[in-house]
Amino acid sequence: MNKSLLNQFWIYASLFVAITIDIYVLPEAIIAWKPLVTLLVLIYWNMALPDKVGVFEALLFGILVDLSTGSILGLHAVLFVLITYICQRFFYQFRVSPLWQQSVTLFLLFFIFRLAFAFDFNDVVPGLNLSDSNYLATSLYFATLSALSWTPLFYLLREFRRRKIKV
Amino acid sequence: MLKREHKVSHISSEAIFAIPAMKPSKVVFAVIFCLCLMISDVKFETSSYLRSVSHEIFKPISWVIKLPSYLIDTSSNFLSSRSSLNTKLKDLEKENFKLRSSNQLMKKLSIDFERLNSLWSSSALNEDRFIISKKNLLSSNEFQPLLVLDIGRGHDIKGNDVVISELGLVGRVSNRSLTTAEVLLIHDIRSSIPIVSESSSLHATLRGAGLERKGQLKYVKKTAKFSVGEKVYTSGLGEIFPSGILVGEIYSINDPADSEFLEIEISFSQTPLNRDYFLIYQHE
Repeated sequence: MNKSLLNQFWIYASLFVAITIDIYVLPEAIIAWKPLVTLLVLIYWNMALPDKVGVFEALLFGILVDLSTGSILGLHAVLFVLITYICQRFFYQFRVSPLWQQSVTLFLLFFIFRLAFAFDFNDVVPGLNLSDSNYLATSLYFATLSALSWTPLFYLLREFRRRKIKV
Repeated sequence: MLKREHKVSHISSEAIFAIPAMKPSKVVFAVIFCLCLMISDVKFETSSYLRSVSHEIFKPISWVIKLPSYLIDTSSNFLSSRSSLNTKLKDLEKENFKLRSSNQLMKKLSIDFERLNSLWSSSALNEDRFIISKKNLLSSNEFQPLLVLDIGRGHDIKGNDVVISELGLVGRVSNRSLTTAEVLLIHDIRSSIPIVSESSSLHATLRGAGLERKGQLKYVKKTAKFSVGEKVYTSGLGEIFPSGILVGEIYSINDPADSEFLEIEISFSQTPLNRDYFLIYQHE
């Protein structure tokens, strides 16, 4: 198989594994604040191989996450696209920073990401807004857990990239 | 050096090792596309068909995920001397599950029967109409959680069929595909259920507020005499939910000075978390 196609295959495979983990593997006990592994993997590929991952992948996997979680179609997709753009725009700065700094950046990014889901697009609950303390708390847990997951995931994906992807 | 891989200096023809940034025009186009998707979904619910197709696509993956645990269970059952007893026990547990659910329904019905002294007129629930279905997935969407059940083929499950567990009402079927059914949970912010309280027999509408959150009774006048701890059941109004299914109990009652309605919180009797089997009650 063509080397470039094979590389693309492995990247897609890792993203599919991530989406499967999101849907089926992570426990329901932490359902409100379990990390979004698909987004973490997408961020990793944007940082590691920005020329191999782009808007199309963000759009595709965003829509798949929308379909699997039952959120409004396009909401995850638009956030994935914007995060992909941010990662690609600043990947030089992001890549050279130490892992703890990367985790802090991701914490902020994931916290803002999560807040986007508090908007009531269907307008069924007039009282629902960002002042909901429960939601802010679960958003903080979600961002913290995502940031903590970054380091092990980073090493895991780096090992995977070194073994499978030949640039 | 290929020009498309790296920038090439026009003066020295040497490669500049920089990866060109993503074009903002692409991002703008993608964002506009996503916004169009969101608007079409909000206005016309375009995602419902796509979602059912995606569940069918994801289903084989769930089988692969569950395969190791299935194999371990099967082999241990096979090796065990009590394997046949285990199978029987599982069957009996399922039967017990069915009976407990119908018992819970009958409990409230029997109260009504005593009151009205019309036993025959209210026995609308038929045990044969219950179908046991296994959970396929529960999404992490906090305000609009999505429960997907495996229903198998050959069942005539339709939209608005009621989903219950042995602890009470779970939701209703909102959408179905070939082998799966999506459930609109009572915890969902889009859910609205007509209820009646146990002792005061007052009617109200219960709104969901998200997973692991209390539901809210809407537009209850301040003259209403609800009490904390009182159980609430489906009233049967609207003819979607049969009457007498346990929904939850009153958790708190607040009387805000700036509103003409009471704020009543309901703690649901069941949660779809950590539960594998549900009952679907088919409408006639």
